Amino acid sequence: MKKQGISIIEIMIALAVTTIIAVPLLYLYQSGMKSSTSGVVSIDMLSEGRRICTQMHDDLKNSCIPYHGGFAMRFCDLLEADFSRAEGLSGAEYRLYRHTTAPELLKKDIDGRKMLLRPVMHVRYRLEKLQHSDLLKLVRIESSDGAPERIKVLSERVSFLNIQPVKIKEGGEQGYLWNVKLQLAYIPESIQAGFALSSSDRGRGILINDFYDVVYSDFFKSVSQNPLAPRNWHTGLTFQRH
Amino acid sequence: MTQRTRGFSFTEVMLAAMVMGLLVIYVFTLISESNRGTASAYHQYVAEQIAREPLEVFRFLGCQRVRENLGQSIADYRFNEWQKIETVSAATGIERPEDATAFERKITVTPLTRDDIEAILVQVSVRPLHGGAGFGAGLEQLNRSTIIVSQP
Repeated sequence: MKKQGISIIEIMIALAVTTIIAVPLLYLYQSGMKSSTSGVVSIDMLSEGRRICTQMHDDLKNSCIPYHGGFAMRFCDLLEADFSRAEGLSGAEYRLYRHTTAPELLKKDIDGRKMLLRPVMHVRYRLEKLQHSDLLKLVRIESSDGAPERIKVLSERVSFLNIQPVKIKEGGEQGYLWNVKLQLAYIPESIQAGFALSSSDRGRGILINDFYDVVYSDFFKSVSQNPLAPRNWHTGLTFQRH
Repeated sequence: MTQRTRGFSFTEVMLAAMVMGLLVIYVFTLISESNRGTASAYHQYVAEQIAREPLEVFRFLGCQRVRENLGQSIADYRFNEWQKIETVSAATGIERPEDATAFERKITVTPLTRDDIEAILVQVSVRPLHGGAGFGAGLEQLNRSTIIVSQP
């Protein structure tokens, strides 16, 4: 007699076999997806952090003090860190003046003297609170004479930023450089986290990339070591007499 | 009369399980390789910054001041020996990320003189500590160098 259809036992066995195969496959698929997402985010954070550090390095390297007459200058005048309106890091602002990369010089009349000076622009790095996130937004605002402000959002996953001076003492002389520390993070929605994460937080599923840099101001180094050096020492053009 | 085959033979089931096992192992290897690649890109960046740090400091100090201190160390940068990286430099206060402690660094400074021009060649090597994460991709050591010429 020919058997018709399939029995309940056969269906149950087929279901059991399918489940045994499907469960690890599903787990594999999920962990693959998770790993792929974290890989993409991590690479994205790395390139974002590198971009920010390169930009900050360039800004700090070209930082200067605008000429208002006189030669006195202090290292602390190069960069202003304003935490007066900040809650934690949110609202904090770093401000500096920097030389532009433009090759032209500007004609300026200061104290009756006609001068040729290198163009200067004002740069601000501002940390802003983000809605629905424990992380901060880092914005760079660039402004120069007569030009509209250029605002650029550099990152929306900053968990820590600090630019502080460090002192190098050698042979009875001392000099200052900046130490930049930046931390970017990716916090999954299910996790609550604060600022300045440590590497132990990685075990909780948080992705953390730390960046650091050391940089000095070309302008300040040249002018502080040679107090009578012209402000636009690098051009060879200084004063234009009447 | 032909005999009808019922169900799978033991060999068929074993073959299917083997193919499936190989597939799973391949996917897991792929995932772990991808993770290692991502981590290695980050570690390479940290190593790059560790190598650039003394180059920037020595450029700041200038050729003359580095030449004068060749017999000793400058701040806590020691010459010609592998040195572990600390999170905070005791001499300068430079702060580094925790991940930097997985590396060690060697600085070599060679004085150069040609005609009346004096210079130094600064070579920095960075490698992972034994048992550390490493760079992956067959890279065992990262080298960076610069020449700093004495200002007239």
